[in-house]
Amino acid sequence: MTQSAISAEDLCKRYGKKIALADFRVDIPRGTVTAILGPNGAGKSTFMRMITGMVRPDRGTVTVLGRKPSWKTNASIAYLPDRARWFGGHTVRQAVEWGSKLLPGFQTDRAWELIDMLGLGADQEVAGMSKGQEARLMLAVCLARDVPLLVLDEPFSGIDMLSREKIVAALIDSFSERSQTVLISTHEIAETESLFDYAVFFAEGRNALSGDVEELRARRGSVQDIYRQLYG
Amino acid sequence: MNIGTFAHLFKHEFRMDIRRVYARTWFWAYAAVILAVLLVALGVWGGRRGFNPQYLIYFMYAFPFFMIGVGHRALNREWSDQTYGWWLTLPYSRFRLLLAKFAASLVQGMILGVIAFGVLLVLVLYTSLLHGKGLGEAADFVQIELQYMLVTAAAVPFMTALGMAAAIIWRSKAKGLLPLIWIVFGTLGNIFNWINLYTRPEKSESTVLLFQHGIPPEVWAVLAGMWLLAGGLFAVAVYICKKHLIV
Repeated sequence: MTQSAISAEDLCKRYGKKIALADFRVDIPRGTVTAILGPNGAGKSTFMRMITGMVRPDRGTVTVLGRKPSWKTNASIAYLPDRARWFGGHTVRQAVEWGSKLLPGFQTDRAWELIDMLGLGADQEVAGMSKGQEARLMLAVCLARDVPLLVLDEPFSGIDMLSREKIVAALIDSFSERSQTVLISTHEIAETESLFDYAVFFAEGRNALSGDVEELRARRGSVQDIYRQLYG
Repeated sequence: MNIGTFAHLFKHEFRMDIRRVYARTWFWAYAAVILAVLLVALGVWGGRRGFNPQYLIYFMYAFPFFMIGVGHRALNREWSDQTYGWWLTLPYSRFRLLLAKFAASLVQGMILGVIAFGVLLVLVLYTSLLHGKGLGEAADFVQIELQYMLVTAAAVPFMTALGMAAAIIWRSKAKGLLPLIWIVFGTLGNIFNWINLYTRPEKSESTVLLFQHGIPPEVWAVLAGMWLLAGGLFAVAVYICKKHLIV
């Protein structure tokens, strides 16, 4: 039996009257690159935030790498938050320094390789960066960590096509070198479909469908087709 | 606590707003113009009755309130700059994350306070020497500054913790408690004035000294009490950040 990297049982979360997660269940196998898919407001970001301990469930349990989420488990998780910005006063060099001092598993040499690959310079100031450049910097900080779990919440949101291509290339490069469990929440399915081994489709806070991508493809067509079937 | 990572967290927090202020040329332009106007005005009218640079010390009454803003901003900027996701998922306890912000805000406040007191002392010295009053007036002013420093030292940790607690409560399920906190603060806020009114004789001469007949013993008790309250507010901020934050 495959070990779970993340296991959720009957997760419920409400924000006032809005239900973010409703009896959500999932088992995400270790060592897979998993697509977290669904329309806006389906509960994807809430689930990802629960993995990092930022959000607590109202009911139900979630285990991450066999433990309850907390600030301690975050030492094993590289997390790219949804709609995040980088610290405005930093240069790229200071961002790398921040990562090397505060993030366990941060590999400075790897960070510089990624930064070079993503077309950024050490003395570039974050305050003067385009959204795409800032997204590439944030991704480099995450990918430079040698940790068992990588959680990327909408890494392509609002990013131009060229930046997206660079980011996908960096992801492919990174995944081929390491045996991490990776979760990526995205709406850019066409550009990223080839990355995924496993997929979880969210609908109104529930797990509408999940499974091995190859098996899903054999049964129901491409990930994009399944997305259209479920939400179209 | 791992001192190494705490030192890095502190350094990060300490630099964030310093960089921002440093980069704002308009801030330095205002500071230079105000200083130039003060120097000219004190050069022309300084030493006359009613135009004494000592009265500038009254702006220190605003200083503790300014520290509410510093504490509040230390937390709130994580949301306004959209960096809270990075900050809250650092693999360090909420206590350590908040303590780094609190300590950085306090040190920023202390540095600003020392600079402000230093500038005032220079202005008093400048006026005294320019108008032939000797160094006696400046020596008296040091005594005044020490009293204001004591009150500032008592109030600043409390005000900083209040600013931080208010910012975190605003982002939490306990948002409804915020008005109550401001009411309690408004009641306690004038505590030094009350002590002064209570201990001041009926007819006293006009002076900028806070405590005209030495520092009353109650002040030391209030100082300790305010530090305890600051610790309590900080603990509340940590608890709410841990259990009731809405993100």
